[in-house]
Amino acid sequence: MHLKYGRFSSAAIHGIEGILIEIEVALLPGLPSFEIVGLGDSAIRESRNRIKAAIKNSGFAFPPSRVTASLAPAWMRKEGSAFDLPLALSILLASGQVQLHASFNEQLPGAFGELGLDGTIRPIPGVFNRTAAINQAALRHLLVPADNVAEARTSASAELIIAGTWTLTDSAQILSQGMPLESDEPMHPPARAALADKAPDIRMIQGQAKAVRALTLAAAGWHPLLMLGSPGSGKTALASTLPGILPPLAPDEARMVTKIHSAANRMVGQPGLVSERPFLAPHAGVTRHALTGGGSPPVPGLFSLSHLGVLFLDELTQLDSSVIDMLRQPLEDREIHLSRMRYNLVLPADFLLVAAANPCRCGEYFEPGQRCHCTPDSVARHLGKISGPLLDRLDLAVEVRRPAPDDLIKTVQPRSGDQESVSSPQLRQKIAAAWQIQADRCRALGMAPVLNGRFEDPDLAGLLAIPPAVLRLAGHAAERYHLSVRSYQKLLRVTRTIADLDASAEVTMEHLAEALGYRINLFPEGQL
Amino acid sequence: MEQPNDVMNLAMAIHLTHCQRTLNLRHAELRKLTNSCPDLTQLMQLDHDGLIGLLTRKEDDREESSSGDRIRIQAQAFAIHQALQDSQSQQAAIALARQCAHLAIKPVLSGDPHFPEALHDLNTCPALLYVRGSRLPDMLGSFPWVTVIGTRRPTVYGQKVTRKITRGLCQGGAVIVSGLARGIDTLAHQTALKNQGLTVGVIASGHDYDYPPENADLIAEMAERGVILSEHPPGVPPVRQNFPARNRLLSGLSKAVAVMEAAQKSGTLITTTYAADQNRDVFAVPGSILDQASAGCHQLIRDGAHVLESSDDIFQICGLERQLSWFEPLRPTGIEPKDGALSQIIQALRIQSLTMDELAAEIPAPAQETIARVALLELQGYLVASRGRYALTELGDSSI
Repeated sequence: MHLKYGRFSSAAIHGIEGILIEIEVALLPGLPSFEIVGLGDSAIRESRNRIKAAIKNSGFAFPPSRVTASLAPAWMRKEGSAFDLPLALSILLASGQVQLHASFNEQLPGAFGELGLDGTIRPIPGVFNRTAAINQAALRHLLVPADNVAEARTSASAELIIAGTWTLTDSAQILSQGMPLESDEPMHPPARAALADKAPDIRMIQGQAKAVRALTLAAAGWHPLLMLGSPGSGKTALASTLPGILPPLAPDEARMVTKIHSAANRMVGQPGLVSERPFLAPHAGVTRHALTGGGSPPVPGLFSLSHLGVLFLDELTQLDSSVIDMLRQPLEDREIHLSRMRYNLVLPADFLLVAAANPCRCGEYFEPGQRCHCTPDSVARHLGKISGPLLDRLDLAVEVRRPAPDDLIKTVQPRSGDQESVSSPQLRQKIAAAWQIQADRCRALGMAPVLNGRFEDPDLAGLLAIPPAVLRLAGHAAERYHLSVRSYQKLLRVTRTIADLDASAEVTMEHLAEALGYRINLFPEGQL
Repeated sequence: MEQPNDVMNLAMAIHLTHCQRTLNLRHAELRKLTNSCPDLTQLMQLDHDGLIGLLTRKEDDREESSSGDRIRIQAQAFAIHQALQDSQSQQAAIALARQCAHLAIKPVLSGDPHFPEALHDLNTCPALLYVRGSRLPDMLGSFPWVTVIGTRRPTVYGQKVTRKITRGLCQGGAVIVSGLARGIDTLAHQTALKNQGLTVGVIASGHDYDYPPENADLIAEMAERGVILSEHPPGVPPVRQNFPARNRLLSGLSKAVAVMEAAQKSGTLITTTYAADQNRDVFAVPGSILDQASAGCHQLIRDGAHVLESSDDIFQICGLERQLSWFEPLRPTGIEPKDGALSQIIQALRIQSLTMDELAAEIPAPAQETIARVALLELQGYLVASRGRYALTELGDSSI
């Protein structure tokens, strides 16, 4: 008996990785029916209807037999409509309506795409990662929705020949006539501008010199930053300048960021690698799972989406304490571990945390005049909502006030001849130089390059080359301000970053003194 | 009723005040009863005639008794006798007395030699004061009592003024009276304690409440090294309506009432109104006309209060003697901010307190250098941040 069997390769997404999926179709004798096995979700169950309609409307016949399709590996949960196209093509091959062209050399191409009822092919999420999986499996040909071609090319090596298709008929034709020649389009189209809107220039910030400086240091040493200030003092505006002053992503970093964002369906059909660092500002009502990621099949959360970029958490005191506690692992390990019943996953999560909070319940604590009526007790209770372990991991703190009316005018109308304010591109150069200094130091020490904010070693002072005189002053400050061991280490790291930004090999008292200016001081009622 | 004698005496004192309040007795009459009978428990033993005897006793030869008086006194003695024998009130008083003994609180009757004399001027002198702390007798001698009060939310200026004036008053040997509230009150007590001065806090609740809660440490220290007074027995919470009544004691206890900082609508002005009624001298520290923080003080001066520039003003105008000063003046530390840039910062802050951003705009140096210098000065104790605004400390004020 002639075997009625068709086979195709496709790819699914698990976490941020593409996984090769083997698709098989067998036409068996019996009453006509169509079944898909292999732990598909409801989108996959519904794909039976799309496939039937698409095959009929493309001028083919749906085989009048018992059709069984299988997605392997069968134990893994799969979701989405990406398997519509390979399933339909497998059916056409199995029923003999399409003959495979000799140029494929019996090696079947990979394919993914969603089918419309009329046989058109729609774009799907995660093409970057799926293509990577096809590429890794050493397949030579790949059919993707025409809208996804650019994204697929960004991810593929030169050996993989990719064809974009608009309709099921197109795809069937390619199978029977061979792959079309690649067009002249460049293999790696130019990088896209950014994930978000272009970051505002830091020059627009007026009259908030200390906050600007703190942002610069946060960027220069990857130091987590806490901003305390009234509503409307511009905390969000300040934080959003960060992508503009952080050095651009290195090529392999860009690939990683693109991969994560593609897996989370954040760049459907957009060509090119992400070049700007991500800036994510979730709402205070964000849930734990939205931050960590997870689900079945797993998808990356905001921690991973802000990998190598900025995670801005506004209203820190409004966040659920269980949410705040989730921050500890990524801040410590630079990755997030998802341990679920069906899988154990490690996702990258090395983000620069910028947290913001109102200094008191009404928020006017730092504002001039007598507007704030909060009692010392209620201020302490308000800030007490930020957990100690998290505070310990925030390297820099700065208070932010509403700009004075004069400065407000300047924020929308910067003076052209303003010598004092530095633009974002200029600052970015300085910061890139500081990063280079830090990388060189790590290499000289035989360590993997890390920025100061991530520098961990028992001999912190020795390796960061902080002289004894400066250490003595640091010890004096630690005693005076009751600094914990961790806070003392933070102080030394920030001091080193200030020196690095100065391009100064020597760490001086001034560098340490400035670092002291950003220590976290939540109850700033001093004795006169 | 086998109770230790002192507890019984306390219970009697409380019991008597109760009777006084229910029968609306005059203070003079109450004093007649208590003065003639050192052991208060004996009052219980007296019958109707004994009480008449006490009440008709002449303390003053000018006192003439008419027949109308005699009838009134007879009726009164009868009422007192009945009230004193009320066993329910007795039991309540004994329970309260035990609680006081447990909390180390001493009820002092208005006739007691340890009762602050100045309060007798008041129409509404409390019959009984609950006293916490053992130093009240030390303070009743020739020491002038001065009330230091002001807003609960002082500016940096208000804080500095309070420290300076209180310090001066302590040096002159004054007893600092205040209300243990947030802000100026707290600062006044703290400064007095820091300078080994005498200080009295008057609270509006029973002694078993720590109010405001963040002052728990201060209250404990006051109980040890100062005195806390209340006219309320333990168990009375700090409720809004008791505060004005407390304020009449604040002014009544002292010769002078000094207002450090008060806005236009401030509870402090209730105290100064009482002070005027009680014939106490009122002093007010003028402030800046650029903000409203001292508007209340300015209104007081407009209404006739004395301008207060230094503690000497109070000593002079009230005709008080500066007592022997027993503490040393502030010693300079020897560290001088010689660096020109450092002194620039100090000069800028001498005029007013500034935020870091304002300082950075004012000082002609890159912002990061100013941040570093300010942090250095803060570390060395020349300045502190309050609500994010930097201000000079006493050390910073005395430098250069």
